[in-house]
Amino acid sequence: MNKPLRKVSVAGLLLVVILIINVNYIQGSQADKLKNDPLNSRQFAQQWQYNRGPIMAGKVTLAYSTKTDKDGKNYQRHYNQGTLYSPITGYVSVFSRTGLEGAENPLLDGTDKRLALHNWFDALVGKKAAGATVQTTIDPDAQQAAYSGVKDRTVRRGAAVALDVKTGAILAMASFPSYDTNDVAVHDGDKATKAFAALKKKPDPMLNYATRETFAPGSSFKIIDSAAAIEGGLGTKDSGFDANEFHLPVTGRTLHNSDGDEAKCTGSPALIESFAASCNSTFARLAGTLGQQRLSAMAAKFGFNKPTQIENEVSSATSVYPTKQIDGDQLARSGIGQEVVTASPLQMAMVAQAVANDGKLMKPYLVKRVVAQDQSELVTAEPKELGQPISSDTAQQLQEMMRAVVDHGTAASTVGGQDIAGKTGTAETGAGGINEDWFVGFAPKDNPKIAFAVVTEGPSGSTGAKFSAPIALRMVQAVR
Amino acid sequence: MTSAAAEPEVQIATRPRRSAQLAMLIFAMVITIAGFAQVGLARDGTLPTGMYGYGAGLAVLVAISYALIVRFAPYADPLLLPLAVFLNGIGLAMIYRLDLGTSRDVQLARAQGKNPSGIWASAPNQLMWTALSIAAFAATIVLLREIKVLQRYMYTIGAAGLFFLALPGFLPSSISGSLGAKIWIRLGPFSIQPSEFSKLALVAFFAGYLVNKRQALSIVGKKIGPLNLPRARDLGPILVIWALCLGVLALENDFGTAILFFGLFVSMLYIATERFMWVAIGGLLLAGASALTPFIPHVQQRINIWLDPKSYFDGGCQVGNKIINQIGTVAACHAKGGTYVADSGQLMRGLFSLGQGGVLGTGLGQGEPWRTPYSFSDFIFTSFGEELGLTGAMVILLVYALIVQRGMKAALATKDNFSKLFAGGVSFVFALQVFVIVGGVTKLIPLTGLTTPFLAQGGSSLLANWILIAILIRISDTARRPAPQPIQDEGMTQVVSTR
Repeated sequence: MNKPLRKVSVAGLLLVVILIINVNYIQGSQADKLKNDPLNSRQFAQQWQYNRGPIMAGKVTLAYSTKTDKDGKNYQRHYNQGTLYSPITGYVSVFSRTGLEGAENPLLDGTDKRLALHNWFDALVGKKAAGATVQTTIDPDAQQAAYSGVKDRTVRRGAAVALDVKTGAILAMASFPSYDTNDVAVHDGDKATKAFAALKKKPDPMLNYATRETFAPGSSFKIIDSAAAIEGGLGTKDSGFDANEFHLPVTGRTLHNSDGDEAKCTGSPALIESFAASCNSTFARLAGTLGQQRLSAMAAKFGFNKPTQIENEVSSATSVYPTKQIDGDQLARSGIGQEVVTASPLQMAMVAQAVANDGKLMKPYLVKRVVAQDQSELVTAEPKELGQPISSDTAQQLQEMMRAVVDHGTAASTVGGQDIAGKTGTAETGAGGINEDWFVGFAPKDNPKIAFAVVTEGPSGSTGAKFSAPIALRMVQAVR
Repeated sequence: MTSAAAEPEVQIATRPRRSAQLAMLIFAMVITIAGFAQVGLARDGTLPTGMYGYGAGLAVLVAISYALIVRFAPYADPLLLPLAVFLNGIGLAMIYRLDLGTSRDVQLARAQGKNPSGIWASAPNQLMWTALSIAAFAATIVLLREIKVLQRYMYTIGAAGLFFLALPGFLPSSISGSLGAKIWIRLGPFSIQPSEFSKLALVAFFAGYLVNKRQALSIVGKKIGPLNLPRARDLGPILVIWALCLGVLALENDFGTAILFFGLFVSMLYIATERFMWVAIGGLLLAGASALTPFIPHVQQRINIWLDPKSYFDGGCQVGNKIINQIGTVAACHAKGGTYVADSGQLMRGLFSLGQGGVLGTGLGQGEPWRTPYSFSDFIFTSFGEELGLTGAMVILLVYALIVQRGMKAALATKDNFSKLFAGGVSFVFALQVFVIVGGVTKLIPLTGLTTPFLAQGGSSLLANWILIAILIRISDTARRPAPQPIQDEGMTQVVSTR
């Protein structure tokens, strides 16, 4: 019986060898993946043991940690004006991490390999590396102006985004309603649960309306119509386009222009004049001429139909211009940014940024640099071009058109004469008589440095010009 | 059929090797006590008071068993006892470490007016069971001089084994159920897992039965291609065992035990008959049985969890065709209008524990293995993986491999067929058990609740495994003992010394 016994003995050994291989696979190569698994609550419970580095905006500290006990085993995370900066910092809680706290976690808590290199001796004796400082691209004054502006104006939700025209750096990103990030960054699990429960209301205060929500862009979408028309060779800003009363092709219903603009929207005015007066008739008709293909292609070049990555693990919701077949009425309405088209404020700010940057679309980003405690720079943001949706010439024509809006168009009554350019948008949502009021543009008007998009939700009768343009103006003035 | 005489002689050392055994024992004790010391130093910065009590207790027990081996089984394999002491010792240290953590939690919960329920890590209980087990080990060494005597009572032993294996299946769930499987007998504060003892009893029975029937069972009936087939009438025994294992599966919801017994029987059948055809037939029957798993919800759940653990994390709730995870409670799932399917929280937390440990581990007493439910019993392997890292986990697995190989060596060395089959059978089933439980908690195979030999908290398992080691030591002693020396000066009458 010894022959089979030897074989069984080898089989027994083989079973253990298989186990050893599997344990090596799990603990050797899968360990990091398991540690950072979103379901793994260890990382959240242990995070209080790390002296997290601060998150800064210019010279203002947005988030910092302090010792909670004498021997320094635990740290409390504090947020400076948590309600104002919640869309940027996010939070650390016993259940989750969001925003930059999540995206830059390894650098903030000092577990990143680049930090370990800096103090290998400390690692050897079991000391934890000090967290690095994350410097954001945010301009504190602009952020404050954006948030208080949106908060004062909106009746429900709202957001404002400002981008550096040349680099794509996010200068302001405000969202309303908001919440105090300090409320959820508590060590005690029961307290945290209660804090989260208290924030479960509508509209959700924890949602970043600047990036994670999409709204109907309304007339601000006419920038994209115009871009497609000029790029497509249908004419220039000075070419005449039919602005007479437009009837929807399927139902035959009249598509109204906004009150008081009827006089401007007749005959065949230059594109720039239709744009300044925001003639729905012109652009609904133009959408039909361009067709769904060309419009969706242009929207996609600006970043529609896919999420935009801002930092690792931080990305925007997908702005949508439909690619599935839509009917003639829907196509016409898409031209005026209604019904089937939705866009996040960040997306519209990116459209303005590309226009202001002579056609070059830049990747938006939030982290300017990350600096270790010994002042060595671990991360330095490098502006990245996402593409060039429109030619420099088209961009300059669009800039001229957006200046006209403020000069003698829809925004003249509110921000006329100011050093700013943009396109208003007012989309009726039909829900509770609430309008999505947009102002999308750039400043200074002749030498653009800041691109922006502001959306507020106003009562019936509110307009982008009245509600959002002044916010945009205050925001860009704060930057300067 | 090859006769035993034609096989090559197995080389055996006939020196007692007592000093090697003693040195290894001391080594195992040093590791254990160092383990206790590290737990104390890591948690409170001082040597723990428990170290002296537990250390001394274990040392006395080990000294007694060493003395008994020297006296009653001097030629025994010198490694088996130290290996068992090592595993039992570090298991005790880990349970002590988890006990410190949980008793703190339990005290806190009581202070808050909550009534904590459930089973906790309990180092004093485990030490008590260790003492009882080593006593049983000693008794086995002293009383069971010849393993062959078990062959005489094989039917009694087999019947008893079967009875205890099947018993929990017929008892009400309040006595026998735990975590879906019905494998316990709970009487007051004591709970026994009878399958642990049944395992030993059935190995004895199979060994006896196969020694008698091996000739018949190795006859080849038909040949199909390269495969020899047994005669149809000889298929009886394997079909009976197969049916019994399926019965265990259906009644007790415990496919770990079912696989264990079936694997045991097939491997012993192969050893006894030297016919690979039995392994092939066993494999076919196993495949047939696995086709039945969709009809056993508990087993199907385990398989689903294994395939896609994330969907079931902290409670999977099936609403329509979608499974929502992190549902929490059954009630929360019903509130959503769904059906509560399964929970992979324990498995996933065990994996997170292993991930936390990485290559070198957090250090004993410095991790958070208590985050995994049953971190002191079913999931004690992941607790070791976390605190001792991949390094420690591999050491533990290698020690298991060594025990299996020493057992197999005893089987090869012994001349008695019954002992040979017994030693081969228990060694293989030991390896299989380690594979099923460690493979289960490391997501190599679907998880099933078997005990981790010597490490996991639990009296039955410890007792049964120490008896197993005693029997292997007894078999190896018999095998390695030098042949009786004729005493020459007695004239024509040859007197043979048996000692």
